[in-house]
Amino acid sequence: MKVFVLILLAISAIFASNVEKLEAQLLSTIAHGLVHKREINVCVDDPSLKGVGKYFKNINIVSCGKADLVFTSHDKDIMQKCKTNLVFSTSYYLYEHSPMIVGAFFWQKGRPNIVFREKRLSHLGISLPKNLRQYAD
Amino acid sequence: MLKNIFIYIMMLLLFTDVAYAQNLEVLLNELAQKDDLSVHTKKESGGYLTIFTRQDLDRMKIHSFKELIEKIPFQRYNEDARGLSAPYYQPYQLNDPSRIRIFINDRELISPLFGGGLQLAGQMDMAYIDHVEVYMGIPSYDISIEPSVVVIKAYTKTGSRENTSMVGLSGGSYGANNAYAYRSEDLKDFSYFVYADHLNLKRKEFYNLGSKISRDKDIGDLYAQVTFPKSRLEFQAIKTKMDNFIGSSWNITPKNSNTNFEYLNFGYNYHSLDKSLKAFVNYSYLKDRHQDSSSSAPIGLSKIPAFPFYIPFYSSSVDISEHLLDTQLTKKYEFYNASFLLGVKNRYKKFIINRYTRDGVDFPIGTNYSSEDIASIFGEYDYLINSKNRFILSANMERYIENSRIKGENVPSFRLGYIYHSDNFTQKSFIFYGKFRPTTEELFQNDILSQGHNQIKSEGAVAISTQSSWQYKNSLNTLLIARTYLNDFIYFDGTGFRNNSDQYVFDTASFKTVYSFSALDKIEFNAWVSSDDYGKSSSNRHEQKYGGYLALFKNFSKIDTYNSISYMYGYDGKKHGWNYNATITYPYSKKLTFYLKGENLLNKAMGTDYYRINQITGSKTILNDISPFDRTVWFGLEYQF
Repeated sequence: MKVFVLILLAISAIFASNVEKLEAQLLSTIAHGLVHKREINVCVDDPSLKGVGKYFKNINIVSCGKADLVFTSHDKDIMQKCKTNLVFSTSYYLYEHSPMIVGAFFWQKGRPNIVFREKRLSHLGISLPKNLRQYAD
Repeated sequence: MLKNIFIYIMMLLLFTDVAYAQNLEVLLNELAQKDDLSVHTKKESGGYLTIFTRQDLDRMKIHSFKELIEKIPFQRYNEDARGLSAPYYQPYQLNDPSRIRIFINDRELISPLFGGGLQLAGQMDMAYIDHVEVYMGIPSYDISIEPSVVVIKAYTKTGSRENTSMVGLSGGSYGANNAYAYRSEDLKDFSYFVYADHLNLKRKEFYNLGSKISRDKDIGDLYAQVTFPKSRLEFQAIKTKMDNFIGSSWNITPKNSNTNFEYLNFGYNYHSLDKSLKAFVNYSYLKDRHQDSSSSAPIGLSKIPAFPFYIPFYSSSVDISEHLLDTQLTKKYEFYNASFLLGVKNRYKKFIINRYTRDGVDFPIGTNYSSEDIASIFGEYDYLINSKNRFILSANMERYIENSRIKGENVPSFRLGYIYHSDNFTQKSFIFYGKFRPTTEELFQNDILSQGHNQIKSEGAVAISTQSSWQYKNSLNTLLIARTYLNDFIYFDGTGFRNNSDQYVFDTASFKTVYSFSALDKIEFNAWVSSDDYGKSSSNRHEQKYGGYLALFKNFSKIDTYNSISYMYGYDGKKHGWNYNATITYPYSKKLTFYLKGENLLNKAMGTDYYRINQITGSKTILNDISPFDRTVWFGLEYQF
């Protein structure tokens, strides 16, 4: 492997790790808000979030068929494929076009946002913890 | 008054929460900063970098680029005799675009004949801009096609980061008002961003001998962008009608003096997925109709053919079409512990004077000069000695091809850089040697005045600079020191253009510190000094200029505040200039935000003396101490659909 590429990758990794760590903290807060278990199995189906797994605590990365919660950026058919009801989008477009999705983490107006679809959560019998209620749609 | 402002700022500081809760909102705020678009677009080796992030611009409620100029070390915002943004304005001297260039993404805003992107964009609304990067100290050649001391790179908002529809309305002092709207969406395979704005920029008026002196502007702007994974299409259209401020009248009594200006741009930008290959093509068309007249004095002299006499004329009009075609291709090669960036670029400028009249009669221009082509090749070798030490060598060769009687020229330039980087400390040093070619407007006017007998030389520059940056707890500090030598400075002496035989020497130093109390709250302080030596022939050989600013961004639960005071001293014999700006933003709901914004609230911003000389009697009419910043209060709202 080229040293130059390695050093550049190392520098970009320092930056990326800050961002990935924050993203991991956010996804972790969302996961623990939706799944009331100590150890949660999640599937991350978003290429831009591949690096977040190493920062998770009490969260295991699994394939979507075994997941308590799926984060996806693009697959609106993932519920059927994975036989899961709890899908959280990392794309606003997917959230807007898939009413079964419980919420989304996305960029809007130049800043990251989180939104939960309250009706869908009620239908699934999930109530949001106090710290997440302000993000309910 | 100043004392009260300082007490107010200090009180705000006392109420700052140094410790803050690690809740979801804090994480979102931190992510907004750490994953700001500027993190993906900035080029650290490109020069000495100042970034205005999306959050900064949002919280300042920046209306136009002019508000940012005073935040750049060694720069003072100023306006020319036509009321256009021109930081280096001097009476009767032409604007020099090589001092500050402005880019929207990769496209430079420039008029092929008149240059000066800031003149075009300095006072336009910039609600379509996401963030701004300012590169100082002769930035890297892949950033700017022609060399420049300062490059302002403004990056537009993108569909993938906006994902919404917005409307903004604001009204201000003197009857100024602005309305903008944009729609953006991140779709499955592409994203788009469409923006429209109308700015009715009413400004403070002045009167001289019964004539109204106005720099009002009416600007319409349309911008559209479609972004694919490897490419981007852009379109921009601008239509402006503006009053020409003092105009050309010998006793500053302008009458029906205005300019209609239209700008159209189409751009295509391509990059490979790993961004090692980049290319763009940008075409711009500009139409400029300018008319000037005076209520009580001539505006110029016309020579009578075959006679040694001149007669005054009282009105003029000019209709100009301009075309600009920019293309650039860069390829980055990576080796064992180095990289090499190779680039070729071309800029073709065409300017056509469709019609020029004096007192309603067609008048010959006196030159056939109408095009300039700049072909250039550049390379940048970036060598990593180890993980902390980096060495950069750049070379650029430009070939200027001119038509008519103007001689072409090869213009080489070189840039040598060294960067040391450790966890909390960075040292950047650059040496630059190069030339600044006379602008097309200088070549054009010089050709008319000398009828091809006077060829002006390019200005030569050598700059040595170094910057230390260190992080200490929550503060980021930078100290920049530079010395610049400028030879063959081009100036207008009243009869023609000359190269000054004296060498100019500029010694500059700037210190900046940014202290962050939390993800949202910070205080910024900058102080700079410029010691200028204009050579032994100058009547005012030594000048000392000082400047800087203090700014506080503070959030109180729902209310967001921004306070800034800039200081200038020593320009054109002027003493102190203070410019105090403040913004209060109140989000009424998730969708609706109100804000109140004040500019130059103390009415003490540094002014400029504008003057005109009667070319027959030699008498001088002066308009004293006119500030480029009107004391203005804006009230605005933004609604998100």
